[in-house]
Amino acid sequence: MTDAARFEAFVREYQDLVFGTALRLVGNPTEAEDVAQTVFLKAFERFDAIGTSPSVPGWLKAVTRNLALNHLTRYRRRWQFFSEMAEADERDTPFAERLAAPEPDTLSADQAAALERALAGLPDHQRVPLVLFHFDEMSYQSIADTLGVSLGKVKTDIHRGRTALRAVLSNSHDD
Amino acid sequence: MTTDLRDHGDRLHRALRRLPCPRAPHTLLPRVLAAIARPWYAREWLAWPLRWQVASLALAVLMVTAGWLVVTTSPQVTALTASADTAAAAARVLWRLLVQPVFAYVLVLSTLACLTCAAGWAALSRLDLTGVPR
Repeated sequence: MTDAARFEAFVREYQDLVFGTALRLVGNPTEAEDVAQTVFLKAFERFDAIGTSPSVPGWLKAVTRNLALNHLTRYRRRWQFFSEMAEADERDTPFAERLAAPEPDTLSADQAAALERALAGLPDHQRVPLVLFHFDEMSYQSIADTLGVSLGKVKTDIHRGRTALRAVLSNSHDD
Repeated sequence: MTTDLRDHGDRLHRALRRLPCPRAPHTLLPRVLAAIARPWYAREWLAWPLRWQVASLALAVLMVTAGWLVVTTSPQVTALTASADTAAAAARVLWRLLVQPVFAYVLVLSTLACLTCAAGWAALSRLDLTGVPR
């Protein structure tokens, strides 16, 4: 098999992983495709070293995460600023409302699609820490370090993101 | 109640983890293959090989330094600097006569305009245009 054919097979194998990771972080398919392309170009440069390594998925996820966060920082520098401005009036979610939306233990295709849409529709400052926590299993502290924000802000943003997602799950369950 | 909250958090965590991985669009593979077929210098700078990124940065620093040295030592540039000094003196006089008296008012008005725009932008960015509850 030639190098080009090997690399094509490599892209085919990992394109969903890379694109999915990028999409959940940037929340936009076009931007996620740009990020995924850059990730594979970086992989191509080091293909001799990483092509057959067992740690490829981890390496790809880490590079995708870094590039997606760089992308968000470069193109949406305002998100931190406006997330701070938005904090004041979002603070008080009634406790009863937080408990009123039990999620089902199994997800239908419709519910999964609704949840994915809701995740993509969250503002960046809520979606990014939530994705890093739930999908990448990073701790609150490492998320705060990675994003350069306070631990309290990470907890608050993840909490608000979860509240919004619970409401979506609850609505789709009722339908 | 703390237990209830944790339980709800766990269920949401499970629901999120059960989401299928989004499928890459069909356009991604051809895009990547076309991109690697291009020479490295035809790609965007971020996708250049690391050694060429470092080399291009070093070259840029070298060019700026060389340009600065040429500008500060050349006799023609010295003559140009003298005429620039004359122009600067004229500009200073104009500044004192025409701009300085109203500068404070213009500054305050510009700041107010910027703050108004920022507030408007903040209000617009909070509008829910997708129908997804926030």
